[in-house]
Amino acid sequence: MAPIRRREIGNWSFWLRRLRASRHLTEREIAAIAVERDPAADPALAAAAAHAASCPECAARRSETRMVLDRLVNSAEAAFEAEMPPHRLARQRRRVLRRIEKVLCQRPARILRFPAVGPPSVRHVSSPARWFGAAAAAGLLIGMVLVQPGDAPRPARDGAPAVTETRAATPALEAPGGTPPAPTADEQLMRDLEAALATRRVEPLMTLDEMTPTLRAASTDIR
Amino acid sequence: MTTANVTAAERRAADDSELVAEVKALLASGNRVAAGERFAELIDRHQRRATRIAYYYLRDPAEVDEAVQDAFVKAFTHLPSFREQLFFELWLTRILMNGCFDRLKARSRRLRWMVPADETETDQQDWISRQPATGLSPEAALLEAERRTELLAAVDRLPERQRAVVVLSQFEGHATRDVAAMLELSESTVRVHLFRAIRTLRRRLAGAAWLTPPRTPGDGEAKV
Repeated sequence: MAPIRRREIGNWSFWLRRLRASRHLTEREIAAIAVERDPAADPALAAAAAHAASCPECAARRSETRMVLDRLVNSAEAAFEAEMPPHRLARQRRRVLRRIEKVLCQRPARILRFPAVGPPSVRHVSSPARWFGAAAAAGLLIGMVLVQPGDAPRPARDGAPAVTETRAATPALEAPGGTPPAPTADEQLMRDLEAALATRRVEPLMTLDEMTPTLRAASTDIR
Repeated sequence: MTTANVTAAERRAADDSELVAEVKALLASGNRVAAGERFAELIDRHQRRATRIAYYYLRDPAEVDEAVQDAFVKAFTHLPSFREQLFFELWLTRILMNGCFDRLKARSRRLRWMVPADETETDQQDWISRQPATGLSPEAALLEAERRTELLAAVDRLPERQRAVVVLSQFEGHATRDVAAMLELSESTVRVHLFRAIRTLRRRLAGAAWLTPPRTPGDGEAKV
């Protein structure tokens, strides 16, 4: 190394340069100078190349890296030569040319019209059919406006004939003095239940029923 | 790359550009047969290099053949849209490598569902019989093949980009600028990929005593 001059003692960049020059190259620098054919020509690598030229250890590391790479390249070349001999390349060339020939022989594609079988538009519908549809739609609309939801008879759940509200209200008004009203479906059901409970066969079941907790009782216990 | 190499590469590129312009003109004028014949010259110029690159990637001769064929046919069919500011060689390499990447992905998907077959002694004998005569004994040939396989397997296990950079810059000898153009990366990124690849390869091959000569006692340890 060059001797230190008096004026350079206080110069920090001088010391930084000197420190860099004295240390060994990093792996990155070794790799950079190993892969470049002429690293001295590259200004970014010139310093590293100069160091490797003067430092036997870094020179050895560089040549070791280069040796690994050369060995890799030679192996790859040898494998290629073994697996892809000239006759195989010749056959490959013939196939490429045949495929290109096929591409050249292709005629430009003819565009076929897609058959139009979609849903007919309103314009294609005949005039009487259009009037018929309009009349049906108008009838439906009028029906919806005139018939109120409360007026419609409600069907019974068990499929019995529908009972209107007027019919249900009538017996209550006529009960005091008139003829006895016809029993409704609900009343008939209650009567049937009472009759069933009165029979002997159900009595043993009543005890069982009392033992079974009801939903109301259960919910009270939880609370 | 030396000055002589750069000049040769530039001359090749200029020749390619002329030929490509001629083929494009023939295609535009409707003379498709003549265009095909002129394109065959481009195939002759680039076929070996393209096959080598595809081989380094795929390592399966049948797949290599298909990849190279696809790349040339694709280049021919898309030649009218080729911008002449680009080098044909770089453009073709880009098409080829994209095709190779796709094939590698498809292969890895396939291999997920396949069970590898064990290599038998007969397979090894077959392999030896296929090798060109090198004057080596069968044992030495097999040993050499195993070492070669070990080396190339280390490259195969590199990440996709690092592998591409090693193939193009080291195996094919392309300059960093060209590799960057082919892979659509910046030059500094290419350098970083190359450095990482070399570091990984050295680490993986550190146990291979046959690869590197024994270090002298004065040698220090590698520094990062």
